[in-house]
Amino acid sequence: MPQFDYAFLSHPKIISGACSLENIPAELAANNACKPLIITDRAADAKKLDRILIRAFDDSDCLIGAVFNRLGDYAGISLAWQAADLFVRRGCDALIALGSPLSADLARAINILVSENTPDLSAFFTGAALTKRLYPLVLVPAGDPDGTGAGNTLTLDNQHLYSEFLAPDVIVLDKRMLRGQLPHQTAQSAAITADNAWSAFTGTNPGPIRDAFVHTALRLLNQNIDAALASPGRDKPCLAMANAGVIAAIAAANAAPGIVRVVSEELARMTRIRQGVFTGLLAPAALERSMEQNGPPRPELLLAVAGMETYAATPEKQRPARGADMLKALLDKIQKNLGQSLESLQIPFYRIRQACENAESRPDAAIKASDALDLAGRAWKGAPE
Amino acid sequence: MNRFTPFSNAPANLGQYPEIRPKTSCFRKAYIAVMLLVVGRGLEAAARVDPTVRRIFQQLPDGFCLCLGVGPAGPWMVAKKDKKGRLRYLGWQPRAARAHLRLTIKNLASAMRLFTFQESTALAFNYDRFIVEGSLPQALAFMRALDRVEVYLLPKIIARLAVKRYPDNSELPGWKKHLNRIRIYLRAFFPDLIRVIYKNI
Repeated sequence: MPQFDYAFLSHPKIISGACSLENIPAELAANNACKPLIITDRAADAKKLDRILIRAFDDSDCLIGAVFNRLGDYAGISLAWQAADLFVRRGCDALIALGSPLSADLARAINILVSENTPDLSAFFTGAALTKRLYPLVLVPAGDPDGTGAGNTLTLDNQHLYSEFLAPDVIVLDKRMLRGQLPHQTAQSAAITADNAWSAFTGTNPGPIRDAFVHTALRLLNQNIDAALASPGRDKPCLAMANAGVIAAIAAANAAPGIVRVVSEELARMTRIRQGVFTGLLAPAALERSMEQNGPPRPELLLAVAGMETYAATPEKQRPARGADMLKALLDKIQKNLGQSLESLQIPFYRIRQACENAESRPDAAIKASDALDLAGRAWKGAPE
Repeated sequence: MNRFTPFSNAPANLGQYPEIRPKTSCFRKAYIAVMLLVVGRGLEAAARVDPTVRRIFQQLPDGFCLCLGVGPAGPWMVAKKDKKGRLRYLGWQPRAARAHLRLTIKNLASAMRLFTFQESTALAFNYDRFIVEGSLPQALAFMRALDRVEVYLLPKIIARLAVKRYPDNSELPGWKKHLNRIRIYLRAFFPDLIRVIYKNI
């Protein structure tokens, strides 16, 4: 008798494809909202993505409360207060996060501030539960299609808050928002996607739905990464990569954070280098380490990475090792496109040690500093030529 | 408005963040309105001329009223099956009758994709571009009728893009198609069109 002892929650509705931005007013109306506040960052503002989003509201009966575009490289509580003040004064009833994951974080913080009607978030960071229903949140990823904002985590002022209610209600993926990525940025996003999928696949309490999400993410990633890296201007592979990113992020949100993600976040926070760089450098080492410690992964990995034909053509005993080999090849490809090793980033090793210790002290992840240091040591030299 | 909020310790400069009222595209609305008018009149004519379309509408109950349009503010197309069992195009006022089946295309951009034949009706359904209020089997029957009407109203090269499957020669012989096309165009535009426009204005 099969055991169905698992939990999985995928709250967001994902809208992807042509004219998906134009669906936002209808989705807001379905959530009883008609006056959104748009939160965007300066990078999206510079690319005039906010204008594309505003144009998508043409012929709708929505009134846009305002476009809050003061977000730079750091999401802090003072910005959240300003935007929350704007939200209340304008009488808005929904939030649209446009751009990087920082926009999503700021929108989540504003959502808690205005829903709970409190200027203080510290209680929630120390474990208090959200008591009020949050306003509808629409996420429009732009730039890096790594799907980080699709999860259920709020990171503000380097503090983390996890709640199922923080997941966006609608995620809109549109090719107009994903254009203009450079190959190394695409590789960074692919690294985060692959790591999210891998940590969800190997996480504790696996379930069939989580596996289905991981399969879809890895399949999309493997099928489209070459085209996305070779010609970043092409819409179709970029959109497929964005879909893979969002799906992998939702799968990862249903599993405990993996060692690569936690160490990468800590390193990125300390060094101000993008998280995707560290993820791309650490992920192959993490796979190698996992193979040494836990043996080959489940054979379903081959099905996810290579597809049904290769899976069926491979003898049953060889499937786990072949799946791991194919994932390793995918991660190495990503790492080569990053063109760096941990050593070449010229970060003093004491800072890496410090990041590993910080990773150990994080309450959301049960990671030992020695494991994190071992991982960083393996990734120090980068991929062999 | 100088309302106090719990966050007023960091007040936002309201003048820096204006409210934005979305624009309205009159051209796109006019184009869709004309297309819906043509489709509505074409449906009425095809229900009399073509046996397949007639059969589809015969299976619907008497007094059945359907409404096809674009959300949230139109334009619309309203058609109703009268007491004699014939389909009548009632015009573009959605309040002309209480609709038993309402098919709403979610936005004008999606409607443009549909009515410029970049997407077929089946593909548009697949992409979740419609909101259906009413019976789903009836909505699908209506879509089949709409596909058939598009085959008559449009040249083959365009109709192939607009329908799920273009009928082959054995299903709809060429001579019959052209003859029915002429009859549908004549019925759609000449006898009653002025009356419908006058009633709606």
